[in-house]
Amino acid sequence: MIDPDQVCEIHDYSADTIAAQISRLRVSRAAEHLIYRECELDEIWRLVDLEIASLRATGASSADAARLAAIRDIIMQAHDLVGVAGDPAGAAECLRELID
Amino acid sequence: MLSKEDNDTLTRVGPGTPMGTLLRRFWIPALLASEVAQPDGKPVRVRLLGEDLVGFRDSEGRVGLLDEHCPHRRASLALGLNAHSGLRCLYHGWKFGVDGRCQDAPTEAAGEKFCARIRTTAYATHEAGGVIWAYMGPPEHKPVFPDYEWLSMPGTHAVPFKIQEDCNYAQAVEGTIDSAHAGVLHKSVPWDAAPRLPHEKDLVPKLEVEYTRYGLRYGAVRKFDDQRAHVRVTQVVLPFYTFIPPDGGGPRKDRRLVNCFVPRDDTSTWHVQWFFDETQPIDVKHRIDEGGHWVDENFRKLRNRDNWYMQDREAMLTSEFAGIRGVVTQDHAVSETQGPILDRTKEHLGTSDVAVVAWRRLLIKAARTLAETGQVPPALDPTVPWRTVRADTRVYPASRTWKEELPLDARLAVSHASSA
Repeated sequence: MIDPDQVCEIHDYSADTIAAQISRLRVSRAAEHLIYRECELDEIWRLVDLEIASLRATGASSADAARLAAIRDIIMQAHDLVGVAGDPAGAAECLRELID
Repeated sequence: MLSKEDNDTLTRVGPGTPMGTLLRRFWIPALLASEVAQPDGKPVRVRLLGEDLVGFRDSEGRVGLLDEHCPHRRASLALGLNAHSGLRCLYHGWKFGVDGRCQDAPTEAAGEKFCARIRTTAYATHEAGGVIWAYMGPPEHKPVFPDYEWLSMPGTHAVPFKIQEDCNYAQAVEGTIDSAHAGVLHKSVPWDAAPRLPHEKDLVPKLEVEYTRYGLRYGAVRKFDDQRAHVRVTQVVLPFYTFIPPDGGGPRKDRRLVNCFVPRDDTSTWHVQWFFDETQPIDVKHRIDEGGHWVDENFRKLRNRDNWYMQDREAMLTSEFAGIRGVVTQDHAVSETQGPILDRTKEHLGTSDVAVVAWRRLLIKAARTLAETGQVPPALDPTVPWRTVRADTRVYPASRTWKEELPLDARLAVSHASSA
């Protein structure tokens, strides 16, 4: 049973995490739910963004950074769909691109 | 994070901006009443929402708030003579009443006829809670003055303070709805010392938000013991108020705090605070020491960015984590060093920032709704029962929720019919 009325802890941006986020987005309706989902996406976004910064600092391959940047952009899109547009279903659809 | 567009909407408050237009629909604190205490006393310059104004109390005790600059040659009316029911410009003697009407223009040949055609910007004022409030919006939309509970308390039991914060108002507001920072920035012992207070022991409270007609409230829930939970419920009232709950113990267990962050302009803020306690007078001296309310005659901090807040690095190791004296100074230090206007496209928020995110979205939405539809938020509805809006601290059985323990008055629920 998914409870949209709770902020969930986010520990990574794995496929499982993204899938769980999609599930929560799909049952989110109330304004408070959208805020919780936006915060969870903020958390995912920062994990990716900080990893990109870390890769750059350590001089890792640009291919890895580019792959992560693409993931970050999709998360940002989902973030704004739920936060700005109030469209959790659209955000869920957007995130599917990361696990399909 | 916010997009640049959202950040601009949130932070820009000048005339004609969406947020500036929204804020002008509310009564806002403009001056401490003590700044214009005497009829015919010294006029006071005050900057609000990017506008330079002059406040004065006329011979009849009425408070005027006018465009600071004389409409003739733009000299400051704050230099002028406050006497005989008006403010007379030092340059050519034009005189204005609290309603902005020109009462005299001695250097103009047409005399009274000329005066009748001259009117300067004058905003409505209201005195309550030791503060002069201003309404800077369209006169036809002037709202009912809000009946906040502390405004009707005796001056001994509800005391206002004012201090300038050198950053945009939005990051100042956000600093007070960020429960996670309290146990770090305000940690009462050095970093390596064992924490003393509940919010220092548990740095990761569970946060829950509830939208209301007046804005939102959020609960920061911590474990108290095996059977009980501890919650601090903060009220976040549109457009820029935060009602902070009492600390829950000691001689000031019933003392409450209201923060108000009035934009001076886009890059500076009037931080107005009221402390109120219905059970006893406010200990003003204690509060000045506790908060760090050491200011000059213009309400600028004596401990400020220029002297790096007089941070004492030895004290960081021996006394308290921040090494900066005064809770307010500590808060201002972190908000001001975020930059004049925080660039929210570069921040890295997480789930502990849920109240901050909720407030931003609410305010941005309210500004855009007003701009697009002309509809104001329910916080301006005259039927909002303000006296029931209160911050609280509670220890309660862990089997219950904080919303069950401190239920929202049904008249404050978003679903309640609005007449605004």
